[in-house]
Amino acid sequence: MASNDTTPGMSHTHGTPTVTAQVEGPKLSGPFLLRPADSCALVIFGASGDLTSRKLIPALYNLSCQELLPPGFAVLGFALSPMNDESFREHMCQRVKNSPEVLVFRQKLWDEFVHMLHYITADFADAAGYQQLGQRLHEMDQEHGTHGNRLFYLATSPSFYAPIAKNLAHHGLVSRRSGTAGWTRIIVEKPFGHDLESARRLDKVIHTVFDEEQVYRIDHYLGKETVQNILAFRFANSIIEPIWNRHYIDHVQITAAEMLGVEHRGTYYEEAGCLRDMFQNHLFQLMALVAMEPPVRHYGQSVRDRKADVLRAVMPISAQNLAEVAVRGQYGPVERQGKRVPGYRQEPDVAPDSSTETFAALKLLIDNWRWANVPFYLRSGKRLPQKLTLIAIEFKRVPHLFFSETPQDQVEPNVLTIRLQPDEGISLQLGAKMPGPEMYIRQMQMNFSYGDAFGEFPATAYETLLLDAMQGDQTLFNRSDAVELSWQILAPVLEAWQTTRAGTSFPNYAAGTWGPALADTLLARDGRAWKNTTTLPRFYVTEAGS
Amino acid sequence: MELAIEKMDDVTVVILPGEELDANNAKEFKGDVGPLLQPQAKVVLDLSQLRFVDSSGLGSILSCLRQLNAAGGDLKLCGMSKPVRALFELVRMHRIFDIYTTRDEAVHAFQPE
Repeated sequence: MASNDTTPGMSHTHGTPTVTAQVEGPKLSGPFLLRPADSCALVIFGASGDLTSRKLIPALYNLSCQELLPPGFAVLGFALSPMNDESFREHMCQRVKNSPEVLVFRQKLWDEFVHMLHYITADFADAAGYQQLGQRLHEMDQEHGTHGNRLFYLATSPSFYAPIAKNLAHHGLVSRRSGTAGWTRIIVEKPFGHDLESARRLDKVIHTVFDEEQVYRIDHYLGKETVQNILAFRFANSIIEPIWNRHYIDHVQITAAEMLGVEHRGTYYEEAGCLRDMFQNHLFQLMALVAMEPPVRHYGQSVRDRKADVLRAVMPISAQNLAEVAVRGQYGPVERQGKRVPGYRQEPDVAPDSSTETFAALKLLIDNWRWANVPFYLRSGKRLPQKLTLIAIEFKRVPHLFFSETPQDQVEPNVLTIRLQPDEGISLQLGAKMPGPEMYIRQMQMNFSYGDAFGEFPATAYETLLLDAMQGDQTLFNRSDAVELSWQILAPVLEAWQTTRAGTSFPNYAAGTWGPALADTLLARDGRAWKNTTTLPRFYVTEAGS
Repeated sequence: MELAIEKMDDVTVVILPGEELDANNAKEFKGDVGPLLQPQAKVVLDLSQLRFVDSSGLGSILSCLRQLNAAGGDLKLCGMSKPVRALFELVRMHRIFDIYTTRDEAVHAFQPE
């Protein structure tokens, strides 16, 4: 009988020399840590919208297929589009059937799930809708055994967050403390405010109705397996922690690049821009996961405390040093293979003289013991050459060039690359001697690929996060102070860029390039360069000393 | 990977050789079984020789199911040993797949009632 202890890794190449990591398969006798979720009713405000049919219902269906939903569970959609239970179920069935997010569509599994779906047609501002909601929830407690537990999901425009919260409280649909009447929790989709002031205002309203322990600010990025794996990689491997600091790490780069333009989101994007859309949430969360101190435990407040510490330690950007640490850009049109790719200003619902940034890069310093003088370079943009999200950790060069009397005149630093998409995995770039009589050192990669090690399972971010909310686990959700700290970091940049909107020389990068030249200057000034790819550069033999 | 293939009426039975389906051979399995996953195809995967499957092996079987399901076909599994069944249950895939004890039962399940 075959052993189930280890499964050796398979050889895998990406056009460069590769050493494949050994991957251990799951152990049948290992602890299964899944905690039961509480029975509850999930109320989705804005249930006729895209998020519900594209992400939430497929995720709930997947959970149902795997028997991970609580024993008493039901969904109640609440939106203005006229539908009833039957038409809502039919609409969701069509979307789930064609969804790439579902494990597999099986009629018998859908039939088991579909009876949990309900819908009421109501206006978010209309009192009658909330009376109906209360009545339906009471009925669902009887029909589905949801025990008075309510999970409200705000899948609406942010402008409705405050009125919905107030209406829920006004109609007695919120219990501040869990007890015999059941618990109440609320999931709030990003964006959490538009700037520091609006985030504080939103929090104030929400906190008049809910305690912070009841608020789940969702950022689906944090539910991604590869993002959660940052914690596993850092804290489940004892060889990593000793070198994870200023003594060994030269700098950190975080890139979230999109190939697509703004598409149909012109109206939203004109108001938001790249900094609000990507930095305040996704990129700062990734930075916090990379830079945080070891938490005491995975559950509870520990992880969120340590992440908030990172954001608290980011050195404020001042108006004086803004130009040296912040770069903005906007893509312009380009002709490619006889086809014209529009610039941002030519996109639908975008002003022809728009000064909204579609690219941003920041250099941040984390002012604490671990990271003193280690820059974190963050960038994101639209219409870049490839869709790519990666974290590159460049280590310091070797202190002594032992090879100086050989043809090898320099040794490249080690780079650890965490690929969040595509080709999810982790690579470590190492120097190795090329075969032959001379001492030439070539960079090669040790590579761990999620696809090879764990197969191709569909994305599970919303499944993870919905289940966590039902379990009362806030670890992967944004806390009020972290949101506020993120806005605080960005506030000087947003303010300065707002006041100098007229002075921008947009567009300043062509669609399909890596952003404005100033973004390269941001690193070149420090003797560094962006990592634009996860593959290694070609190797050229050069004369020693040249 | 040498897959043994049998045709039983309009059902293709694929017998997985070897005792392991893991990161070492999951990709090869996917490549070899790929041509059999035609639109409307009825496929039974006989796992009776298998003693160990890891998550990449399971992912490759799931991938077959997804591919067939999207093209109007279906996949049924049979002959699971206890440890293999235990892994399917551990990762909660046992409800996603139609699992039968014997090959005949799996083939028969394709026939209309």
